[in-house]
Amino acid sequence: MNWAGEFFAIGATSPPPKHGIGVGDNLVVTFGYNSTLAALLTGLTDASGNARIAAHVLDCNGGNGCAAATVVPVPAALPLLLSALAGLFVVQRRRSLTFLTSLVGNMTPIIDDPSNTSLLAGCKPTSSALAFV
Amino acid sequence: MTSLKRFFVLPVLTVLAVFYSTAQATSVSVAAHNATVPELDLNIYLTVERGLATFWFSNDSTGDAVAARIYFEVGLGDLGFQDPVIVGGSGVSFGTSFPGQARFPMGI
Repeated sequence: MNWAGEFFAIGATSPPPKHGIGVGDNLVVTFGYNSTLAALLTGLTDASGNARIAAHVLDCNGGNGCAAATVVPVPAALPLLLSALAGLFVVQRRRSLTFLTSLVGNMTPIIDDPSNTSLLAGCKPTSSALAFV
Repeated sequence: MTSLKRFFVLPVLTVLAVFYSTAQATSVSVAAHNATVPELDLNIYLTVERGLATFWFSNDSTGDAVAARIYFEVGLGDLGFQDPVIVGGSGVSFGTSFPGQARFPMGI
């Protein structure tokens, strides 16, 4: 990870463990920003894929001291790619089902009694649509 | 049946389109970089809406992890961020000044 310094940094007022973001807590930071979420997500990492947000976490153990760690966002590219592929799969599947439904819906039954196959004698499939039935 | 679908589907699509055009949101998980933090589950919910970028930090850990400082790297300044506002939850108090403490992320 290559950190070039901070544009903006905030810290819990003393004492940090008490006033930090504890379990179940949350903190909101807003900026004026005139672009899109996609641009923001792209900007969260630099050209080398290094995270541009870091948090200093204290892992406190029953008041017996706190271990420090730096946490960074998990690379978002893989989840975004997987969700996009899943979305494309769903859309493609729905289109296929819609096509099949419209085909079936537009077909006119030629046999009222399915057990009577004599009407099919000598018939040959003439349309590729039959392949979907 | 077709008209029934239109009756329900079109309003839903309209609402989704309006929602998407005014608010875009996603979430980003974080992971420990230089140490093991057992049961850490810190998430950042990002929203872009009406000229504001919102970073909602949520600590969903099951252990005793506490996020004490948050840093935005200098390159984020290129995105055109302006006028930061900090809103802490109950018992959460953050500021831009913490004298006597290193302002650089440890271990980076």
